[in-house]
Amino acid sequence: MKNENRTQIISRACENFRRFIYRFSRDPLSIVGLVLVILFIILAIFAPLIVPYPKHAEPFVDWSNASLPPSKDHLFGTDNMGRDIFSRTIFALRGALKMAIGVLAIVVPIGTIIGLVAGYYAGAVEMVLMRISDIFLALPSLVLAMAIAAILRPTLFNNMIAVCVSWWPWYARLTYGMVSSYRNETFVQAAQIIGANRWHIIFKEILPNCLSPIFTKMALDVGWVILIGASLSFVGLGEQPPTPALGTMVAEGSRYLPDFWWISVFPAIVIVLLILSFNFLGDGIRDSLSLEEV
Amino acid sequence: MSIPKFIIKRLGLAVFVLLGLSILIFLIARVIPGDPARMALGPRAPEYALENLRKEMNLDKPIYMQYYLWLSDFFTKGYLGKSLITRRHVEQDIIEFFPATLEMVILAAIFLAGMGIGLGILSAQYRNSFTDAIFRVIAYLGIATPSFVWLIIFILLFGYSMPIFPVLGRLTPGVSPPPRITGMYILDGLLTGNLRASWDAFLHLVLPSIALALGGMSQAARIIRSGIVDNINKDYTTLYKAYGFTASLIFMKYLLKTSLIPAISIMGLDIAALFANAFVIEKVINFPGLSNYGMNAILNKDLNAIVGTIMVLGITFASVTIIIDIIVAYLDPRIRLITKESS
Repeated sequence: MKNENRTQIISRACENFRRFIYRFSRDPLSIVGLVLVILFIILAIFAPLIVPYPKHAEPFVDWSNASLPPSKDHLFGTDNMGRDIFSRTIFALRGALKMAIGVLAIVVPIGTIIGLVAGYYAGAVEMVLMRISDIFLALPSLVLAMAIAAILRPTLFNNMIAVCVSWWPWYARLTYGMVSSYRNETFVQAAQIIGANRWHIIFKEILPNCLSPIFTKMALDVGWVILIGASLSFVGLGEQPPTPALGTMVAEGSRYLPDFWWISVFPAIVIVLLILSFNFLGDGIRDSLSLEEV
Repeated sequence: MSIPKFIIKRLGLAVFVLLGLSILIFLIARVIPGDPARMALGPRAPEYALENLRKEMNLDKPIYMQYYLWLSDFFTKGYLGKSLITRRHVEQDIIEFFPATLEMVILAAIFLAGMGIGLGILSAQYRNSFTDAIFRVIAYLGIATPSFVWLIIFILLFGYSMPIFPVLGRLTPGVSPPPRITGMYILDGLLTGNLRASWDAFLHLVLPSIALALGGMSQAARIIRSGIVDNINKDYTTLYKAYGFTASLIFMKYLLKTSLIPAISIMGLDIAALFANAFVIEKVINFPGLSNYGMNAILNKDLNAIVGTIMVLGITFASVTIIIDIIVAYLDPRIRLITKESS
């Protein structure tokens, strides 16, 4: 009997997955998003091998080639110290993606668990946890992240911590909302009657139903975390030079506007493309996962 | 529940949250590595000067004592401590710098709401056509691009290539600011009849305000569009069409109200986020606002100024959220009931 059930469950999951893939592949924007995201990830991982001037991401100066406009040799031109901007931008992708993955890897589990606990054990626990998350939501995430990032030393890891501190309440709230509406459903009551213990109910009954919005939010949040990371490095709180970071490059280049416009503009375009592609991907996931009412 | 009770509940919650925030920021600011007294006086200051400064800033007392003193100072004298950089009272600094940022944010909020709703309605009217695809692309770009990128683009396009709008600061050198009533140049200029200063200040604010507003504007447009499109096939819309109402009447009056409710909540969050983005933008154009002051405070580890600025931002943010919640509760009575149930 047990083996039968398992096969049924697996085949149903496969069917749902195939349906998701089918719906996802119908929307051209989502495909564009997926392709771009994969492209960015590959570029970031293999940066030292792909890039024309890998040495330029390290401390490097070449005054004779400084501030050259975009050309065949230097696709995005060179900056005021002679470093190739195209190479530095690709290297900067690494920092951005690392931060996004790091932040989400911490924030999603912690936020979700807090939301689950708050939603299931109602009453005092719920009030305390939700009020604490309200306190962290009292400031716009960028402001809180900036304050914390400025207090700690400016490194990638500290930026990650700063963004985590301001980001976790969103997942806690999202999960809490879903759990508190599922808490009174029949299937939960059925499990309680049978005598299933609390952890089983929380993790095996309620949580799987919450996963879709959480995954969608994760995909969209990568874009926002990258945005905050770029803003943090724009004001100088990100990774210090000479490590390339997208926001820092835009900030440094803004001093040379409008003459040497390429120093600012190309990293800015890359920031926009990065966030756009994750937005397309996230929107595609959301649209393909949504249950349509017949 | 009735509206007054709802308001009181929300205010109580806000007070609690702000107190918690003040504790959080206070602790974070005090935990900074490095000695604030040393950083204020410089590396060659003698020991007794450092001791005096520490006593003055209450740094020798335990943390809860410091917090209690700070809180009581604030409520009894409105005193937020002395800034270590400008050596003035923090609240004086804030009163001087806050109106500038407030002006910019209010202008940006007006752009956000006005153009966001307008774009949303247009986008819904022309849905599934070619113009709609263009709108969607613009909306995506608006959401994905950070404000500082927009600002740089605007500076390049409208500041230099086609010099329409001025770029730096609040007023052109040579135009003196109007006498100070609220500190917001546009308003003061209008109130005192100094229209030239008013117009000049407005011109300086156009580029940064639009740069700030674009992100939230696109989001608002998308939500309004989806709200209207959802309702367009419902029965009551068909009824109005049968009655013979013009399309614009149906859009403007009936569909808009329904789709405003979710839009307003999001717009509230976006408007609050405008303050956050102002932080980044003010540095680029050398705008003497609260964000610039706060950034300098943070980078120079000016304790009292950091705490003061963050508290002001927190209070502003909380007020905006409360107002938005009250508006939404007024528009949608279900919210008041739901809040009661879940508490």
